[in-house]
Amino acid sequence: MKEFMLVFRSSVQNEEVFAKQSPEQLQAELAKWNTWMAGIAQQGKLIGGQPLYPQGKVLKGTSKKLTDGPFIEGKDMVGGYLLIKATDINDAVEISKGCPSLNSPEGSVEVREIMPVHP
Amino acid sequence: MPAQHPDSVKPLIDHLFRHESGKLIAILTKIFGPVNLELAEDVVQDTLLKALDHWKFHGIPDNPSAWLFTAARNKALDVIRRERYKKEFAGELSALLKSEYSAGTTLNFLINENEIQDEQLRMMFVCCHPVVAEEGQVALILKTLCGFSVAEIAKAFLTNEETIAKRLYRAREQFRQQNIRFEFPLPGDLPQRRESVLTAIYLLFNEGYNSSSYDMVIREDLVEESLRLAYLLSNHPVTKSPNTFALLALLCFQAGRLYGRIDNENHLLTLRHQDRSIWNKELIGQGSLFLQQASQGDSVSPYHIEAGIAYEHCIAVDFASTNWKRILELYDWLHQIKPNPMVALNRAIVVAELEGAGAGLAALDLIPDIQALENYYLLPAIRADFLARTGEKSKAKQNLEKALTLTDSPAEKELLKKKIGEL
Repeated sequence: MKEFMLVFRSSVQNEEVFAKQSPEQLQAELAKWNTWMAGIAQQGKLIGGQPLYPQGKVLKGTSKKLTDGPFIEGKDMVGGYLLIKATDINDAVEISKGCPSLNSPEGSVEVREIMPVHP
Repeated sequence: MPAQHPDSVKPLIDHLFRHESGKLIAILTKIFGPVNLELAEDVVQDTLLKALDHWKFHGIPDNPSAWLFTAARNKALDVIRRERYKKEFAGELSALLKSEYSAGTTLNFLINENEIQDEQLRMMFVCCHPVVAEEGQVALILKTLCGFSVAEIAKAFLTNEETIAKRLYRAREQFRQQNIRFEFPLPGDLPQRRESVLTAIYLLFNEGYNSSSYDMVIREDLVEESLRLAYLLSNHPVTKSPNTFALLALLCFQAGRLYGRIDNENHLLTLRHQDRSIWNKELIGQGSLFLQQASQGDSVSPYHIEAGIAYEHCIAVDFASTNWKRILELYDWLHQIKPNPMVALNRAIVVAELEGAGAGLAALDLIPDIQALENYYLLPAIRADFLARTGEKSKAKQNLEKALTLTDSPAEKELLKKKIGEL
């Protein structure tokens, strides 16, 4: 079993809508996430992960230049991540297809394998 | 618990808290896992304190139970956030509880009142897990499922709080070290594990029914709780069995006669002098139905026979018309499958009713392992009764005086003194 990180991205606008939902809307939205994640957990493949606030700060380069972020030129931004176990990248992709992020045309899931580093 | 709430509120919330805390601890133990039993108890304790505080100023909500469930859910979420990088929770729930994506929904799903009976049954099996000593099992049931405080458990067992706290501590340590799971035993282990649960409930009941603890409120609660737990067990397809029904029948027959045992001034009465009209006929009737269900297997347990004996007492219209012959047969049978000096002692009483006090004295002399009863006040008390009936008053008095030194219960002491006076 390998480990993967799923990175959820969407438009700035979508992320702000997500963060500002009414309690009822949020509950309905989170029910979808819970169903998807409970399915992964049942297979023993869920490790963890969290949603992120849309606001933050970005430090850059040797000068550690600070900007309000995280969005770059108003494009997609990271809204959260999940760590899972999967047999290979294809399995990880299959699992990702159920992600509620993909209910919006702007939503994306980037599937990246955790790199075991052998120094 | 602080006692600063208005008096009108207190009886209601004492009762409510005792029941709701049992439910909530069962659910939270499922969520956190038995390894984190203490965390579950803390959340419930905090929830009840919060309720006490809030209700004092805002009044009791329309649905106090729902209020407590919501408050417990919010506390649980706080605790999960605080502990999620330090602790593992129950099995596959752990990862779901640690993520903000799924924690709230998972808790909403788990902390509701629908499957509460299942959770309480599982909790019973957790409490009676073989890694926990028998005395610890009963203490744990009282603490977690019945909402008793350590002080109340100590009172019920006539011991001090420190002893009970140690028993509970050792039990929690076992859960932690052995990583006990919140689940029903595997089918192969079920019959044996169910027997441990039945034993614990039987002990719980006897503590309430027979113990010399003089706090009547605690004793009533013990009796009521053991009936409730036995009923839960008999009402679930996995845990019901002929033995479960037999125990439940026995508890109904005994509990039905609980109030016959004291008179208006709280004096203990022997069976001969009890007013049978105040026995709880409804409870005794239910017991008869459970006894019928208990007979639908081919096994006979000590509970079956004890229930049979209690049934004979229940249906006798007065002391004189008791079917002693049938009861003696049942005692002989019971002694065959569960040989123990207590059974033999009770059997001797029946022998005395049937064949006279002299035969009763002879039966006492034949009790195997009688040393085990050396410090039990009823042995000299019963001997005294037989001696008095055969006219040996001075020997009877000696035995009653010995019995007096063996009990701390004011009610029992009083009954013994009354008998000395009657000689």
